[in-house]
Amino acid sequence: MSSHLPIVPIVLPMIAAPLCSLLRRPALIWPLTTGVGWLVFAACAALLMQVVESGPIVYTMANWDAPIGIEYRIDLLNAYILVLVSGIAAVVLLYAPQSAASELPQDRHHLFCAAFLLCLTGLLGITITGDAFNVYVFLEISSLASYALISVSRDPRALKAAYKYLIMGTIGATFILIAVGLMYMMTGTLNMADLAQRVKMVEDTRTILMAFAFLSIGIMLKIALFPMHAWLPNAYSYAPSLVTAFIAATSTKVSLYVFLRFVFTIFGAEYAFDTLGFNDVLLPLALLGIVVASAVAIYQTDLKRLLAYSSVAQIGYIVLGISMGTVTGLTAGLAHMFNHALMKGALFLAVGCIVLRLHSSRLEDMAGLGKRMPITSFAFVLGGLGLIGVPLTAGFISKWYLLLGTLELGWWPVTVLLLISSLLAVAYVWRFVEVAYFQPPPAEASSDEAPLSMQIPLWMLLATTLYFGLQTDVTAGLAQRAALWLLGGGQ
Amino acid sequence: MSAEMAIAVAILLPALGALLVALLGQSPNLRDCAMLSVATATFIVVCTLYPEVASGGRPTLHLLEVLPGLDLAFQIEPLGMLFSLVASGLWILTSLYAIGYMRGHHEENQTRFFAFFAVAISAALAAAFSGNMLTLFFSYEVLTLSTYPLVTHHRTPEALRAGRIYMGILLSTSIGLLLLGVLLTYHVAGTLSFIQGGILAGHATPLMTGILLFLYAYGTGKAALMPIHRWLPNAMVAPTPVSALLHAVAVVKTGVFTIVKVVVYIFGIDHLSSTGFHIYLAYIAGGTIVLSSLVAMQQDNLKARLAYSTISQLSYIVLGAALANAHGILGAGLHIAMHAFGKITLFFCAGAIMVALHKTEISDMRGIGRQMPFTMAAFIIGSLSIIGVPPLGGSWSKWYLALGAADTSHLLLVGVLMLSSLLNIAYLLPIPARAFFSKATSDDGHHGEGIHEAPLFCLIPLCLTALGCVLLFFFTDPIYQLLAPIVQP
Amino acid sequence: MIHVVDMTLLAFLAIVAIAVTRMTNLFATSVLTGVYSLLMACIFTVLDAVDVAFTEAAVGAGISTVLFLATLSLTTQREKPQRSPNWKALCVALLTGGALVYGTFDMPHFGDPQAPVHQHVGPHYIGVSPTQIGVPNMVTSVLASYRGYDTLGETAVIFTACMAVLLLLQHEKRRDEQSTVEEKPDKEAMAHAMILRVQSKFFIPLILLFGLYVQFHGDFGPGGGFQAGVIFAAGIILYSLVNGLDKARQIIPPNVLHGLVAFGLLLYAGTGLASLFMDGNFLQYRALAEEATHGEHIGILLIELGVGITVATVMTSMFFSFSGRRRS
Repeated sequence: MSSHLPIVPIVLPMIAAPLCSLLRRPALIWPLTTGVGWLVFAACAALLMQVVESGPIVYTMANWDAPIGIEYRIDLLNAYILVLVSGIAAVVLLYAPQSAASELPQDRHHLFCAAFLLCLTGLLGITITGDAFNVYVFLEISSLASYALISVSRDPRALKAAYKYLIMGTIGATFILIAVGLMYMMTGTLNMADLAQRVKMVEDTRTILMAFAFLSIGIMLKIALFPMHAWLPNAYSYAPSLVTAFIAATSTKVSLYVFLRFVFTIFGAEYAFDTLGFNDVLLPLALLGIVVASAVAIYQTDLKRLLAYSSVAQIGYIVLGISMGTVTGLTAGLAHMFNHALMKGALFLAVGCIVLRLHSSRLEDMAGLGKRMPITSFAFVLGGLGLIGVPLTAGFISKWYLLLGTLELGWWPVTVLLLISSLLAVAYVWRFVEVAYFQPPPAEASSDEAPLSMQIPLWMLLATTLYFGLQTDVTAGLAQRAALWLLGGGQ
Repeated sequence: MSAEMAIAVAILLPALGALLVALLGQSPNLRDCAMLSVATATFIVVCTLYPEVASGGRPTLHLLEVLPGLDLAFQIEPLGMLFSLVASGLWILTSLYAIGYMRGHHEENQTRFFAFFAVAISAALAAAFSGNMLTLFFSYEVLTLSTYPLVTHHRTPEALRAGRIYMGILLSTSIGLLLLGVLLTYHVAGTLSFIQGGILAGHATPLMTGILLFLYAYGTGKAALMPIHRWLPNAMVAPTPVSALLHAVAVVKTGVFTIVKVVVYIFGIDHLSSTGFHIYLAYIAGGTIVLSSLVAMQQDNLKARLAYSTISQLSYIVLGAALANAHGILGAGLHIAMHAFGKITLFFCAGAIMVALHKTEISDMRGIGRQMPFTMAAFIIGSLSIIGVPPLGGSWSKWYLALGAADTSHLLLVGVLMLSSLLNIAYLLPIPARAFFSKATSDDGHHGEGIHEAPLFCLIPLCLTALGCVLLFFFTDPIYQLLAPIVQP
Repeated sequence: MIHVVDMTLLAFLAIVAIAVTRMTNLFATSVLTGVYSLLMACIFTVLDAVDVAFTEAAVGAGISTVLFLATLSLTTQREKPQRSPNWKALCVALLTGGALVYGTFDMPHFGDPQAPVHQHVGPHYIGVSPTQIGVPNMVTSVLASYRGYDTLGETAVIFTACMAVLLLLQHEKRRDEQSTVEEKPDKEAMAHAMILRVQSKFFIPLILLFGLYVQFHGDFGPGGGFQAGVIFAAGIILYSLVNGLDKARQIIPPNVLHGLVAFGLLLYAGTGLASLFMDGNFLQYRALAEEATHGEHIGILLIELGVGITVATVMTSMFFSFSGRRRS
C-alpha cells in the first residue's frame, strides 16, 4: 500500500468532504475533519522524507504513463510545500472547533468543514500534480472553496470581500487556463515534464510568449503581488479568523509554488530571466509591494487588516528572492514562503483568540490587552518579532538569505530598502504593543484568556517559528536544495 | 563541572531564574531569595571559568549550526571573561539593591521586573561569551528586547515615549546597520568567527574596512555614540536598578564590548590601523566625550546627568578601540570594568536619594549630605573614580587610554582626554559639594535633621561598589594580565 | 459554406456581447447571456465538439439563465446608472483581447495535420483507445479513463460549488421554511398558466428520458455524466418552475438531494479506491475485472453515474437554494 501513499493527501480529504456534508452533528464532523487533517499531514511528512531519501516520486493515475495519462511528480519543491500546507491545516483544525463555534452560524458547521476539506484538497492537489491542466482543475476547487469560506463570516462585509476575491481570482484562474491552452496548442501535451522539453522547441513563438504573459499575470493575481493585491486586505480582514489563518498561510504560498513550477520547470530560468528579462518586471513590483504595503500597514486601525497588508509586503519579499534568480535569492524566497506561512498563521490564530473574547479586531478595542489576555498578547508580540525578522525567529533566517542575496548581486539600494522595510515592520508591530501594553484596559474588562484548545495550536505554530529560527536544516537547508535543483532545470 | 557545561549553565541560570521568579511571583520574599541565590550561583559559575581563561585557555561551546557554516557558538576570551565577571558580580549587588529600592519605592509589577531583569543578564552573558559575530548579534537583539519592558516599566505616557525612542534607535541601528555590517562581513570574509588578528585582513579593501567600521560603530546603538545617543537619557525613566545595572553596566557595556571585540577579532588591530579609517572614529568618539560632558553639565536631573556622563564614558571605550593599538585596547578593556564600578555606585546613590528623600533634581539636593552621609561619601568615591583620580580604579584605564592616544601621535586626542577629565570634575563634584556644604532649603525641613539613609538593602550594595572602586586601583594587575594576550600579535 | 456559418455565428456573438455591456435592463441582459451561450453551443457544434456544446447549451443557456432570473426576482431589474464609462475595464479588456490575438499569430492553422496537438498524444488516443479502453467514443475514453483524475477533480469542483452555495444560502431558507413558506404556498408557481402546464407535462418526461439516454449512451456517442446531469436537472427545474418549489421539494426532499450530491462524488472516488484494492493504481478500472476492457467498462459506467448524479443534484439544489429565498 505504501506505494499508493501519494494519493492519500488528495483522496482522503476529498472523500471526507462529502461525508462531512452528510454527517450534520458537530460532535462528529470536527473530530473527523481534524483527524483527516492530521492523517494528511502525516502522509505529506512521510512523502517528504521519502523524497529526501530517495529522490522524486512518480505516481501515475490509473497507471497510464504520462503524457497519455496524468501523473503525480513529487520532488523536493512540492514535497516541501505539501508539508507546509498540510501542517498548517492540521494545526488550524485543532483550533477550529472553538473558534468556529463563536464565529460561524451553528447550523452550517458541516458545510464549513466540507468546504475546508475541499480547500485543502485543492491546495494539495495543485501542489502534488505533474500535469498543467490538472493544476487548473484543483485551483478551481481550492478557489471556490476559499470564496465560500471567506463569505461565511458573520460580518456582512465579508460577502462583498469574497465577491471581489471571486472576480479577481476567476480572472486569474482564467488567465492561467488560457496559458495552459496556448501551451497545449503549441506542444500537444499537458504533462509538465513533457512540456518542459517541448516548449523549448517553440519558445521563440509569439504564442508561447503570450502564454507566459497570461500565466504570469494570472498567477500574480492569485499571489496578490502588488499592485494586484486589491482583493487581499478585505478578504483577510472580514473572513472568519480561522479561515484567515489558513488561507493567509497557505493559499498565496501554493500560488507562488505554481509560479515557481511554471517559470522554472516548464519555461526554464533561462527563458524567463535571460531571454525575457522577467526579473526586471518582478523586482520593481516586489520592492514597491514591500515598501508601500508595509507603510500602509502602519496606518491600519484593524489588526486583521494590518496583518493583511503585512502579508502583501511579505509576499514582496518572497518574489524579490525569486527575482534574483540566484541560488541564495531563491533559497531566501523558498525559506520565506515556509517561515512566513508559519508566522502569519500563528499571528492570525492569535487574532482569532482575541476576536473570540473581544468580538472585534479593531486596535482601539485592544487597550490593555496585555493585562486581559497576557498569553495571547505575548504570543502576538513573539509572532510580530518574527515578521520584523528579529534574530532567533524564523523570520530572521529568510531575511538573512534575502540580504545576502542582494549583497552577492551588489544590489545596494535593494539592501537598504529591505532594511528600511524591516523598520516599517517594527512600526506596525509596535502599534499593537503600544495599544495592548500601554493603554489601560477599559473599566469593565476582566482578564479573560482564550481557551486552551485555541492556545495550544497557536503556541504550536509559534514554537515552530522559534524552532526554525535556530534549526534551519528543514527550512533553509531544504530550500537551498530545492533552489539548486530548480536552477538546474528542475528535471 | 567542565568548561562547556559552565558556559551553558552561566547563560541558562539567569534565564531559569527568570522562570523561577515568575513562578514564585505570589510570595515576594521567596522570590527575592531565589533571585539572590540565582545571581550568586551565576557569579560562582562564571568565576569557575576564570582560571582556565587566565591561563590562556579558550573554553568553547558549540550549540548548533544555525545557518550553514554559522554556528551558535560560545567561546570565552579575556575581554568576555572580564565583562561577564563584572556583569554577573554586579548583578548580585544590584539584586540586593533592587529589593530595597523596589520595596522602598513601592513599585508595582515587581515580578515582571525581576524576570525580565534576569533575562537581560542572561543575554548580556551570552553576548560576553559569544564565539562569533552571529551569536553576538543574536544576544544583542535579545538584550534590546528584554530591556524594553524594563525601560517602560511604569507604563506612563512618558515611559511610552521613552520606550519608542529606545526601541526606535536601538532596533533601527541594529537592524539597519549592524545586521548589514554582519552580512557584509560574512559576504566579504566568508566567516563570522572571532579570530585573533581579525578575519578581514586580506579580504576587505581599505574602503570596505572603513565602511564596515562605521556600520559597526553606529550599528551598535548601545554604545551611544553621538548622534545616536538619545535613547540613553530617555531610558532613565526606568526604575533606578535598571539604570544602574543595565544602563551603566550590562546593556551599554554590551555595546562598547561589541565594538572592542569587533575591532580586535573581526578587523584585527593591525589591519584596521593600516587603513587609517580608525582615526576618524577616534575623533567622533572624542567629540562625543566632550560634547556629552558639556551637555551633562546642563542637566539638573541627577539621573539624566549621570546618563550623559555614561555616554561620554562609553566613548572613552570606543575611543580606546578606535585607537587600534595595544594601549588603547587595554585601556578600553580596563575601562569597561572601572567605569562599571564607578557608575553603578553613582546610580545606586541616585536611587538611594530617591528612595530616602524622594529627590531627583540636583538643585534640590542642598545639604542632603548631612542626612545621607554614607551615600554621599560613596558618591564622592564613585565620582573620583570616574574622573580618574588615584587611588581609584578609574585612574588606570585613563592612563592607558592616554598612552594609547599618545601612541597614535594625534595629540589632539590626548587633549580631549585631559579636557574631559576637567569636565568630569565640573559636572560630578558639585553634587556632593552642594550636598555637604550648602544649607538645606527651608521647605525640606520636614525630613528633620539627623540621619535619614535609604534602607540597608540599598545602602550596603552602594558601599560595596564604592569599596570596589578603591580595590580595583590596587588589584589591577590580574585584569591587566588577563587582557594582555588579546593585544599580542 | 462552413465559413459563412462561422462568420455569421461569430458576428452574432460579437453583437450580443456588445449588447450585454450596453444594456441597463438586467432582465434583458440575463436573457442575452443565455443567447450568447446558445450561440457558443452552436459554434462548438460546428467545431465538432458536440459534448461541449451539449453542456454549454444546458448550463449556459438553460440553468444559468434561470439562476440569473431567480436572482433578479430578489433584487431589481435595473442597473445602477454609471456616470462615466469604466475606461480602466475597457483598457484591460482591449489589452487582453489584443494579447490573445497577438498570440494567435504563431499558432498552427486550424485543422493543420502537422500541428503539435495532432502529432503527440492525440494520435495515441485515436489509435489505441478503441482497443485499450473498448469504448467507441474517444472523448469518453480520454475524459473518463486517460484523464479520469481530471474529471474527478471537475466533479469535486461542482461539489464545491454546491457547498459554497449552501453555505451562503441555506440559513435563510430554513428560517423561511418555518414562517413564510407555509403561509403562502405556490405563490410564485405558475400553476395557473395552462399552456405552460400542458407543455411541461409533455416535455418533462421526454427531457428526463433524454437525460438517461445521454447518460448511458455516452460510451458510444456524444454525452456522458456531465451532459446528462445537466439535462436531468433542467427537467426538474422546469417542473418546479411550473408546479412550484414546494411540490418539487416533496418529490425530491432536500435530505435526499444532499445525500445524492455527496453520493455522486463518493461513488466516483470510491470507484478509484476500489481499483486500488484490486491491486491497481488509483482509478485504474482495468483492475476491476479479469479482462481489462471489461473493467474499463464497469469503471466508466460507475464514474459517469457518479458525475451524472452529482451534476444533476448540485444543479437542482442550487436552484432550490436560490429560489427558496424571499426578498427581504
